[in-house]
Amino acid sequence: MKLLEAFEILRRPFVPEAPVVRVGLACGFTPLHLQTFLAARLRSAWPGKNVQLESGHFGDMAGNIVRLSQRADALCAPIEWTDLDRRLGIRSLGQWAAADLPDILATVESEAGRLTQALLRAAESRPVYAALPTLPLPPAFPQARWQAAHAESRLREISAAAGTALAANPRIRLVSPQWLDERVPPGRRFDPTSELRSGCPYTLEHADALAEGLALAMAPPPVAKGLITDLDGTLWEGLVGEIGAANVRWAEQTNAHLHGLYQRFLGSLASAGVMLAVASKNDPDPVAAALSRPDLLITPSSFFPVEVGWGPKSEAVSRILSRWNISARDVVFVDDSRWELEEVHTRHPEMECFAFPSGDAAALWGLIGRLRDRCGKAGVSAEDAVRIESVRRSGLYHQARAAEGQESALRRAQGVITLSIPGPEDERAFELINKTNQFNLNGGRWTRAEWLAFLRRPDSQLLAAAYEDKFGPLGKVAVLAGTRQGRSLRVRSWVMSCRAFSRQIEHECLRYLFHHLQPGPDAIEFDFAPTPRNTPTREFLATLLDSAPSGPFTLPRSAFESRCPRPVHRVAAPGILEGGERPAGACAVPLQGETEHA
Amino acid sequence: MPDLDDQLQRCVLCAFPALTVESLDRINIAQLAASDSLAAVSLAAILGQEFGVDLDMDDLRAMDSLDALRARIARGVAQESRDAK
Repeated sequence: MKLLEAFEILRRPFVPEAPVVRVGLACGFTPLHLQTFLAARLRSAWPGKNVQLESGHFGDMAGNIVRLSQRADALCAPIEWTDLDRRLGIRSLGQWAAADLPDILATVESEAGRLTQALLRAAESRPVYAALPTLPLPPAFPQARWQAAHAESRLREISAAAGTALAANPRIRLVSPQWLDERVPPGRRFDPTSELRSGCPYTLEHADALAEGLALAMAPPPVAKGLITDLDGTLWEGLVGEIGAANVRWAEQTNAHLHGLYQRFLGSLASAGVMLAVASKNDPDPVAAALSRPDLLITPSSFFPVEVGWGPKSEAVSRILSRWNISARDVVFVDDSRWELEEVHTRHPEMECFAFPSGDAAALWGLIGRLRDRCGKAGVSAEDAVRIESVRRSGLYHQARAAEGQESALRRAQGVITLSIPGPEDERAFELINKTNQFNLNGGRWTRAEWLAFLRRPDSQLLAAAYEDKFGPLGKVAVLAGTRQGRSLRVRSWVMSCRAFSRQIEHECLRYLFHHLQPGPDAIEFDFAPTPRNTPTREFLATLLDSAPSGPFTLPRSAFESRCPRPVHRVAAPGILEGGERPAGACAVPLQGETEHA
Repeated sequence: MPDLDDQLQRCVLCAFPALTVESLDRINIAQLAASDSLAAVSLAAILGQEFGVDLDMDDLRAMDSLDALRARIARGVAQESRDAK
């Protein structure tokens, strides 16, 4: 982004009534262009929000962290060497004599510890986005610059230790030094003229890249939930139908090795909860034989479904999307055939399609990097471990449902819904709020700062639901966030994973709100808004109302009681306080244990 | 140079958002720079990125009008073009 473009973005008017997001930019230098770029990128990422960026005092990094974290909803903290010791900059004329280096090292270690602790404290109440020193060290060491001086290595060790401590905190996101290195090499980052003239040490190019990294950490782009891959020429080298399962290759040989790397990468995606499926034009038997080879570098059960046949790939992709119950825009497709990529893209234009670069190691390196960015997650949850298995097993439930009807199938499934109140440490709840599309009350997305601020509100009413039945666990699948005053309850956000549809989990959530809150609400207000993708939500709500809602509505308890199906699940609510009170820290008084409905 | 004029107007209006297009012919660059030094630094950076012209605060303080700024940039662009050849 160029500076002019950033300023023009900032000149656009805010959306009226847009919620304010206050972002503190804590740094020890003049943020100048960094602040402009960061504000512009956040405005672009959050067009429906009024982003207000506030910076602190020059030269007081630690003080700025404390002051801004008290006022801001989120804190950005790009730390530079001069924040750890001013002698590592050029505005200060402190000594660089060899005899001074031990003191510089001691100061840097002390300040790094102090700033780390300050950021960890700030993260107790708001999200923190940080970067560790990005600028080159000055030529302050006796050695020529091509030689890594011991003091230089020690400085980098201190910085890395701070990064380790910060990255271990789930409420702190660090900009990756490697990502930044790839965007702007270190030699193009420092602007000594600007540093001396204005106190801003960054070149425009580096200010933009660092702002981009911080903005991506704060407002990450939508993550792909699934990847569909071709087999011949993609997962392995060779045509399995022609040369046989024993002869397709993915290791040892130079070109085939790339397919082994791809398999290993897919295995990594699967372990992080990304759903994988196969779409291949082949006969089923040789494919099954190849996928069962013991030297395959990915567990074959990681793929579900495996669509093998001779019909158009786009139709196989449609069937996979149907089994996964997600939309094309949430999935990426990889194939070595340009023709197949075009055919799939024509039918599913929202799906991002990637060509597998056979025989081109550099291109494969680029591809798996892009796929990682597209599928990358801030953390791996318990739900990620069970996702593909739960999708596979849900087919059994849906078969039973089709054969014997929903109520009978649900009763025989012996489902258990576990209700809980999500707290600030519940990453899964925040993830669900921000990635669910089909069962989503209004499509609203929350920044981490907004979410944490909402959790702190004394009138917030939260509920999460996890589900398990004889087919296996689905994990935490629903989250509801509302506000409550006396008998009044207003639901502002309500999402449920598409894996949990048709199990009446949504009914049990409402039943809990009507039956177990004290005082119980006579009616619940819903901030419903139709979106292009929340038709399932609208259809569910229509079953409780006289017609599908077109905007916010109120559901009287009597209407819910008269239209809600009979309960079929066992509902457990350990740790939820009666009377609608909020949990007191980690020590919660149990409700009445479990509520037997079935 | 209509393209340079349009681009220059965009740059100045972005750095000093309180200005209007109508007021640009009457502005005094030096006074603007004196009134808001950070905005002036931003203007110099924008002009550097858009036109490849290296300006500092002293340069801006020496300009009493948009015409003076336009002339300085035109000279810089011409010089850069000659250097490129």
